[in-house]
Amino acid sequence: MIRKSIILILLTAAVLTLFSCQRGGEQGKGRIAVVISTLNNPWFVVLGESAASKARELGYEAVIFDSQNNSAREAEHFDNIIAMGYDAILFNPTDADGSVVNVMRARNAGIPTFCMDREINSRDAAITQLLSDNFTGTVKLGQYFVQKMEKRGNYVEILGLVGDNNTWNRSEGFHSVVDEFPELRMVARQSADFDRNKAMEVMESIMQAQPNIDAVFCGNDAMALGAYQAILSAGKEGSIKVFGFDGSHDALQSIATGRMSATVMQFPVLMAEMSAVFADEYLNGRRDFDARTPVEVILVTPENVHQFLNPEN
Amino acid sequence: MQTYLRPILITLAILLTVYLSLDIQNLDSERRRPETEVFDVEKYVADIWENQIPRIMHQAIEIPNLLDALAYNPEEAFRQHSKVLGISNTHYFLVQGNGVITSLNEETITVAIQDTIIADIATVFIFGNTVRDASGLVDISDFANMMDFNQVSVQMNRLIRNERATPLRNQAQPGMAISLIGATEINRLEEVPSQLFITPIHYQLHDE
Repeated sequence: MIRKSIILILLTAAVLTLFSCQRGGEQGKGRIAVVISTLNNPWFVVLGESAASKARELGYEAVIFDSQNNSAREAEHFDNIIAMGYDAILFNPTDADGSVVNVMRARNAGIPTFCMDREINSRDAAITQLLSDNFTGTVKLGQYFVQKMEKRGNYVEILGLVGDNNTWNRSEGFHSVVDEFPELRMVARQSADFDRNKAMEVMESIMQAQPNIDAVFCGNDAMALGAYQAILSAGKEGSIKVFGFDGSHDALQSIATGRMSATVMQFPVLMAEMSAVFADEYLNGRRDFDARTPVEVILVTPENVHQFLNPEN
Repeated sequence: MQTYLRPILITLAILLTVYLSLDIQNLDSERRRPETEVFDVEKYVADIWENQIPRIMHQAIEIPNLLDALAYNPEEAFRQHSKVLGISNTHYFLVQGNGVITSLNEETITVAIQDTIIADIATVFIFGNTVRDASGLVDISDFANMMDFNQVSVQMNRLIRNERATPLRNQAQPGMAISLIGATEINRLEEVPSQLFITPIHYQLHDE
């Protein structure tokens, strides 16, 4: 059995090596691996495809690897990428702590890694990390929230994945504002893993326990739309303000039609493309990268939503 | 004899392999390590607030000069006088000015500078990264994660609220002269606001 496995691994490696040699010959500038946490979520599909597309535009061969939200699979991808001698990795990690070791292995093998959208807890493992400036986004959202709530009322917070730094950066930014207003009271806080259906269920159960809710702040738009669905089913639309984060098209439509109050627009294509550009610059000798490169986000409200629904304007 | 020797040698080999594979360390020292690495935001910000910001306050550009520069050559004004974090159109400026308080509002104090320029000093909405990033004193590469980096702003804003904004709100009266050093943000894709919104860093009040 063991012998069979070894033969299988050797054969696979031989085939991959032959395949990579053949493909490598087609492209002049080398190969870039795009490792994405999961391709089951359209957000990450956009991120991965934008990064790969930009890398190809810059003259590299680009291959997308799907970690399926599984850190073990992510580690396997890094094993293969290192063994196959890729030139750079554009990386959307599965875990802020657990993924550091993979990036360090790539670094020790001389392969630079550029993180996208999700953070790893390390100063120097990656060359840089392109991340939405979640904190600043929710500071702006929090200030708008305070104004819309006229500094008083009961609200609910629905968090994303508790192991993801983005979840806490968004929450911290929001609370750095809202907690300064003592008449704004958080009556419930629960995680729904960035998932629309879970958020709907969470909101349903919270509304049963808390009849007086004036607003809900959700860590992404999918959860905000799920929470709105629960509010609609309970016949409380219009009495509970809904705030999200992401700038998804559905959320923008909801803001334009008065179902949601605000969101924060992120720019995944910009993040992905800039990570490919940075990789190219690094491979061409640039070294002056900050450990992190925050990417600005924009508050979207009924006052400016038309700019994003009709970008040509 | 051989029947005794073989299991003993195998057992010794296994024990040796296991021993060489393990790196045994004191549990207490491992427990202590994360504590030593915890970011002490209060200490970090106290040093910036007390020792480093006073040294850079002279770099603040006079508000009338900044507005002139932005009107004359915005590209150069942004390049020379502002700081920006990452990929962003929002730029942060250290500014200073002398003026007269014209009104006390619920969330701001309005000041007339050289009669023609109006600025609002924030007294309630002191949030975000304006002062941290305008100062240019905090390097993002020094932090293990964004959470710690952002906590610097939260703590800095707390100090400003307690040590600057609240006393200013309590002391200020319309008609008083004020000398102010603060921070403001301007988006380079938008028009320069007609009234700058300034987070106070240092102020002096004078009776006219």
